[in-house]
Amino acid sequence: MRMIALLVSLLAIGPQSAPDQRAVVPDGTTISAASVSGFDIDRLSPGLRHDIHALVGTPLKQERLDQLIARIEEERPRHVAAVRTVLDPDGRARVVFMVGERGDETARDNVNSRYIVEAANINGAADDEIPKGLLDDLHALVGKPLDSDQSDRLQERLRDELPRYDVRRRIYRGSEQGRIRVVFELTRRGAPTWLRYEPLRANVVFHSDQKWGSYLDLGIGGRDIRFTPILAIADGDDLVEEYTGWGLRFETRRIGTRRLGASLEWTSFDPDWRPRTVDAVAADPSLPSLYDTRSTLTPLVKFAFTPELTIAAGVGISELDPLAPATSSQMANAAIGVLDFDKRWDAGRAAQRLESEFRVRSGTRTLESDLAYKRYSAQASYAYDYGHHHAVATAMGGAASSTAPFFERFTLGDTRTLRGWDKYAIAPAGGSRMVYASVEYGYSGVGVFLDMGSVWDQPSDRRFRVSTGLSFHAGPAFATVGFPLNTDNLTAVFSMGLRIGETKLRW
Amino acid sequence: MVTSRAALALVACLLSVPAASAQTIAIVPAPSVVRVRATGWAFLTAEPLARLKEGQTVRVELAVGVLAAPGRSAVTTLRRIFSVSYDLWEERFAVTVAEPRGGSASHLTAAAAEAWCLEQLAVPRASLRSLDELPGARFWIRLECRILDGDGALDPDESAGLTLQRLIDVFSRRRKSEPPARILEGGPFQLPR
Repeated sequence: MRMIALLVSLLAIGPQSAPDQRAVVPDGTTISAASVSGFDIDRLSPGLRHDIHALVGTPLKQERLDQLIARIEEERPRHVAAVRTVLDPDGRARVVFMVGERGDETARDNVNSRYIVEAANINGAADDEIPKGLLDDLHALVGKPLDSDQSDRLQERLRDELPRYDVRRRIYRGSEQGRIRVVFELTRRGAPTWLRYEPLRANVVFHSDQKWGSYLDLGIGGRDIRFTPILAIADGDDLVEEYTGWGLRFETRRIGTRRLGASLEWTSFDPDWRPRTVDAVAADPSLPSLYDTRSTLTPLVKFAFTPELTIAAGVGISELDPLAPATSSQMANAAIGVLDFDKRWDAGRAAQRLESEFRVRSGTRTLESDLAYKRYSAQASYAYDYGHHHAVATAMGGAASSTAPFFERFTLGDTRTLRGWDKYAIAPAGGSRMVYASVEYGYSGVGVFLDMGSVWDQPSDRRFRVSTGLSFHAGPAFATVGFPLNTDNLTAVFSMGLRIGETKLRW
Repeated sequence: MVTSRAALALVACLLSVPAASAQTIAIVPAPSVVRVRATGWAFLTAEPLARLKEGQTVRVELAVGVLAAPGRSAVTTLRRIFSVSYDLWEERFAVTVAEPRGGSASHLTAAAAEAWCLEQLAVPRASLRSLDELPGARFWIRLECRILDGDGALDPDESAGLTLQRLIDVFSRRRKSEPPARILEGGPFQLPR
């Protein structure tokens, strides 16, 4: 009751001692900040927290605030909520949800709150694993009626302090009528996986110059084993070639130990070559020859040094059927080495992820390859999310021998890189060298990006291209409008589609 | 032989009828509201019941929808969240409506607690006026029950990309964070004029 009285008095004392806040801050005033006072906002559901934070920047609407109050009280029935709106000198409004504990005994949501706690224990973990402060707070429950809120907080703290355990709270009858025992039971979780599956990157995309294409991979499996059927239909987003075909990948991320895993992928793709690419190859005999069906078998063994750092090694055995029927097929067999680092940090509303990869592919005669070449690529992506704010920075670079087959050549200018350019206008046959960087900032579903990069063949001149534009995201759907900057021909490039994978890395 | 087989099949069918019709909805019209009764529709069972007996509070969302035809969207819906707990010493249930001025009841058996929750979802007769325009003014009732467990977080590694589990969730229109609902429909009902 005291808290309710406090809330009432707080609401009564408005900025200008106004009796009614609605009269002070009119509907339509832009909200500059929204917060919760008297209650830890992190204890509200993520959806409700999101909706409270989403008030910022929107016009004030009392009805919407009332709905949020109702949702707070619905989620926390032992609490009462009220809202206070304050008009700042800059003409914007601050919204404060004040939450207090309800004094009404009948509103208790657990009938056992009337019983006295005679003992409070933690089972399943050694005492030295539990922070002393937490133990002290646990013992403070004893001798008083059960405080469900306090118990909830302790349970959440245990989860935070001991992330390797599942925490379950049980209440038992005590030694005599009216007494209860509170026990937090900790169960050690199964060891987390160290190796990641190959990132899925299902997409259906449209590029205004390159038209529709799709790559669909569907992961079927569980924690340690996964099968992934692959279907590509006119996919031209990654390579010089636009390919159609299918494949199958099998992966295990536990061979005796969670540090060791393996994968085996088989694909068969039929490339479609754009006239510009065919013309470029005809004009430059130093470029590799075009091919028809490309069948590849890729066995890999993976080892995790830590959950973040893994290495993979294996071979890629590719048979390239010739375009001309009279000639024989070529083998492009390469040893593969991949070093991968992937780490996420989550702290409250902020989430960060760093992905990086260094990859070497070496086509060698010792693997019966007809093509001897080397290809190096490095890429990194850093993503920072804070509430509605999203920022991504990406960098890539690569070099390949001029003898590398077409599927090893680099391209830029598609739905993910150099948005605003068409890759067939930049380098119709791709390039053996590539550098690229991109930054993107987004608020909610709208973003702005700046891409810059170059793809070229040595010894020809390197030319940097820059593009900027807007991006729109709604779940897996996206649309971008990109404009090339350092060109006389300012033509917008539009792309859209669905992209379900979440990795920012490309190859 | 054929006759005896047919008889056996008939007996089997007859035996299965009570099981299939064990869950039924009835309405109790009052001057200003229509109360809903559900026979055999228990939601304080299995895992929620186990949690209650461990002294935990279980939040239950119940909704009563009034439909113009079976399977159709509701003309009007009443929805409330209840906090249910189990008195470890008295071995009885207590229920609180999770609203600022929501009522509460205690010393209830499981069936009585379930019935009390439904009692709090009496449909105002005023909200049924639009049904008067329908032929025969018949309507159906849909009950929905959802045990609220909070938001289930996805393992970030498992959530990436297109997986079979994700497709199943999408096509069944189920969000990972949304617990499945138990639904019971009954009717047709007609209010006395």
